[in-house]
Amino acid sequence: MIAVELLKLLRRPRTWATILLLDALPTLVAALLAFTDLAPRPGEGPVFLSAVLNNGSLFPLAALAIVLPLFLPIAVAVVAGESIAGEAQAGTLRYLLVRPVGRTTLLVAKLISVIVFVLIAVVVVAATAYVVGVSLFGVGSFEATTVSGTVLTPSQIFGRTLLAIGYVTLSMLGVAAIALFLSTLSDSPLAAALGAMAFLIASSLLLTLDAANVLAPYLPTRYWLSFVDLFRDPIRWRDITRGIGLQAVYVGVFLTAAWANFTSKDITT
Amino acid sequence: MIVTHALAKRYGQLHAVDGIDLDVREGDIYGFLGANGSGKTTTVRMLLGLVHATSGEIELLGQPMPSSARTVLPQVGALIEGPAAYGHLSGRANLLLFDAAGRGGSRRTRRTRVGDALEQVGLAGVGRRPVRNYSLGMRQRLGLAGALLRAPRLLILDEPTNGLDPQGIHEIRELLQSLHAQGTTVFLSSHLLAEIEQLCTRVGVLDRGRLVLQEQLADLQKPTGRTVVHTPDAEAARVLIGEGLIEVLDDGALVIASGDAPAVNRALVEAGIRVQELAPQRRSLEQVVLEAAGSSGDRSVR
Amino acid sequence: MPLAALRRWLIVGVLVAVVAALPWAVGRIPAGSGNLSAQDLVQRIESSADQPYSGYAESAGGLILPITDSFSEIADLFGDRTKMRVWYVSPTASRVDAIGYTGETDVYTDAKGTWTWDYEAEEATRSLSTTAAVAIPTPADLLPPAVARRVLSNAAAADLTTLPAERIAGRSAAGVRLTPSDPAATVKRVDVWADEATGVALRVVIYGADANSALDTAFLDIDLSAPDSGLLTFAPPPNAQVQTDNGDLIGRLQQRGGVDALTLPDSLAGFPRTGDGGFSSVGVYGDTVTSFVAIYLPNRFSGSLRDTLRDAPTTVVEDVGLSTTSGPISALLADTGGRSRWLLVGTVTVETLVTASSSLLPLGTGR
Repeated sequence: MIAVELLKLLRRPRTWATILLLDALPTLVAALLAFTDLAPRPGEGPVFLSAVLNNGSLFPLAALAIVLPLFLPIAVAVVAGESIAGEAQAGTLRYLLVRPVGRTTLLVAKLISVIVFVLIAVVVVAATAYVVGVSLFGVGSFEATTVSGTVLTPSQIFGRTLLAIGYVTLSMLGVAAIALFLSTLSDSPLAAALGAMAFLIASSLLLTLDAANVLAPYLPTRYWLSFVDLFRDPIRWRDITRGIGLQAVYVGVFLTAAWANFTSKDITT
Repeated sequence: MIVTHALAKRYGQLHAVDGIDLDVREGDIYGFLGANGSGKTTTVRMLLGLVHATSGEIELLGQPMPSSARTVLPQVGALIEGPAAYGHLSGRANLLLFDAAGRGGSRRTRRTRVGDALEQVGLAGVGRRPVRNYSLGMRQRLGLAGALLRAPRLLILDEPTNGLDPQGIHEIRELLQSLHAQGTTVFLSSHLLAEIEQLCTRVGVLDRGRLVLQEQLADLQKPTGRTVVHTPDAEAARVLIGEGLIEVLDDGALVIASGDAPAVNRALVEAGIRVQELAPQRRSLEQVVLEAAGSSGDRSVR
Repeated sequence: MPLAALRRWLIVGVLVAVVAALPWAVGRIPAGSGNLSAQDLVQRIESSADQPYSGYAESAGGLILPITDSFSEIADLFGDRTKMRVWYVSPTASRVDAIGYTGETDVYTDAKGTWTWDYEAEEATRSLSTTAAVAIPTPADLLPPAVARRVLSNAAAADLTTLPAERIAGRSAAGVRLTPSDPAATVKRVDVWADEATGVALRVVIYGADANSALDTAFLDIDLSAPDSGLLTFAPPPNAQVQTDNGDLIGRLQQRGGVDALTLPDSLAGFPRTGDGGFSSVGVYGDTVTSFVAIYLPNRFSGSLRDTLRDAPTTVVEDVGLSTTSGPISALLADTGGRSRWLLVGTVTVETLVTASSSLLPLGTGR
């Protein structure tokens, strides 16, 4: 069933259109940077963007930082919101279920296909950004400075970029699970995606409020930017492990809720 | 093949399906008749485990549903409320995905199976065109092909000829009859009397959530013990028949209280009355259904 | 709702409850029973300067300081949440990283002084050490061990009481409360929790007159083994700007104004002089948490400070100048238009500062 879902994902033109769109923004930023040479100061604008002018091989990170706060979660919310509700709306859900495909199996397969989507999207964005970054900015001395002021070798940059890709992918799991849950509640993919996005926007907003500090450790967006910690020296694992744990909790809770709702639901579309 | 006991589905105060006892036997082509909104679709969905029954029991192929869905449903083909497919893929790609989704069905024979199913419904030649560009009739055929993929023992079809032209309807009818001849039991839900009358061996009539009739079609249509006579000499005939005349139909036909048509014929002819048409009376399915159901289910229920 | 569905949602409910209760349950793990007396604990805390540790601490300040723009980092330090990673071996071998979302400022301390790395400015600054008792505060000064040692030094035994032990950063921490008895004190109480075995302070909370803490600094993670010494050395990366700075705050002030020979009194408002910050024109009076510093101000600098103070909403006009308070901190700019101007800042009442200024104003040369 998982293979079937992956096949469906990969053969849908919309999947690739979304990834293409995700790719467009960092590429545009790179082009603008290269032609105007107006780099933001360090600490301003997206993380690592200032360092890119010296070393193009850091651009994948800057690209991730660009898509992470908004573009990527929107794409995930749309794809995950589509998962069940989209099948319901097209009417194919009832045929899958009488094939029969177990409802729980279907949910898990959908979640995995969303994860694969995120992974593909993130890897494509990073790979494009690497090519764009290296060709527009060169790689300078091949080395880069960490946030802590130490020097990274090219292989360390590569390794830590891979870790960052993994972390960003895991960070999207919470959104995916929320959207998947909403997708079992509503028969409209749009409503599910919008609901998940509303949740994210609320979470980002609450993070900026001191009054909501009590809630902060529970908000799904709390540890998103912690992938920066991979570029401190030594790597600061505290927020990264917490971020992963938090995403695991979100997946656990919302996937269980999705399961409870979906397996109890009358399929009338 | 399908047995339900006091199957019921309530939505709040509304009794969509109100305690029905279906009995579909092996080898039947069962016509499940009912107006729109009578609870047909809800019943079909409950049979297939899509909708959870409020109360009552369902047995499919002798096993309880929905608890045995994993073993029962692979032997059941279904078309529920119109076909559905992924618009951006071709019909063949859709069926390949659909076949791969469920358990069972070996990977090696998948292409052959899909090819055969498309052949059966007359879609073998449509090529790689995406389903989005299919006509309603083609989609309907594709849906049927999906139901036939695993050579099911039981076919549950909801309005299978919807959107087809007369030629298409004829083809589907022949297809179902040949499948039936090979031993497939067919459960056909429809609001079209004619379709069921032409195809089915057994009929169940649903009205406002209640099963008001369930019988062999042949029993419903057996002679009523009366004879219908059309004659240009109506007055003479009336005089002759006297007490035996039950009623005069709108088109002037006389209904006579005797099932012995040859005897009636001889009596009339011997009395010099010209007989234009003479036949034992049979009830049409329409009459049966109208009598059983009372009135249209489109009327709101309470 | 059918029974099966009810059961499924019950599972969801139980799961949510478990997940929500987990942090609460971890917080309930009982702390050890501290048998240490308050004095013993304070002694242990004071003598813990050579206990190595590494970890992560956060401090939250509730102070709003009306400070000129050139010292805005100090205002952030006391008014905001500061997140610090720390590796500590001894007072002359440590590293403290103040972490932000998009960068960090790291201070490496070695025997000769400090390296400060500012990622966002791409700037590495070498400062040679001064022994000044009065210097610009850095994040390192907000770490619980540093705050605890400063606050508890020479604390009177009568002012100390024992607090129940708590679990902090996963360790059992014994608690002590300092309640200054001096009527001039603006700090009403200080709660300190420290690791029982080593005396490393794990949390310090300082309260002013109101119920909210003026400063709350605590470790969230701590490891009491010696950190890898490789982490404590700093070499400026290529591309970075490197500069040298000998500048602590007071040094900067005194250089601007030119130092005049001044003799400050040995006691002010009943507080003995306990330090001079390395400058004759600076006096530190009092100790533990009830103390203040008096700084002679050159003309140019006092003007801008006066303007800043005048615009601050909490400022009060006194006979001898302008005063302001924020939490337990009081400040007085004593300036009667006469020969000298003095800045007095400390954790004593404004009245105390006014009394002190009356002995200072006749001093100085005025330019």
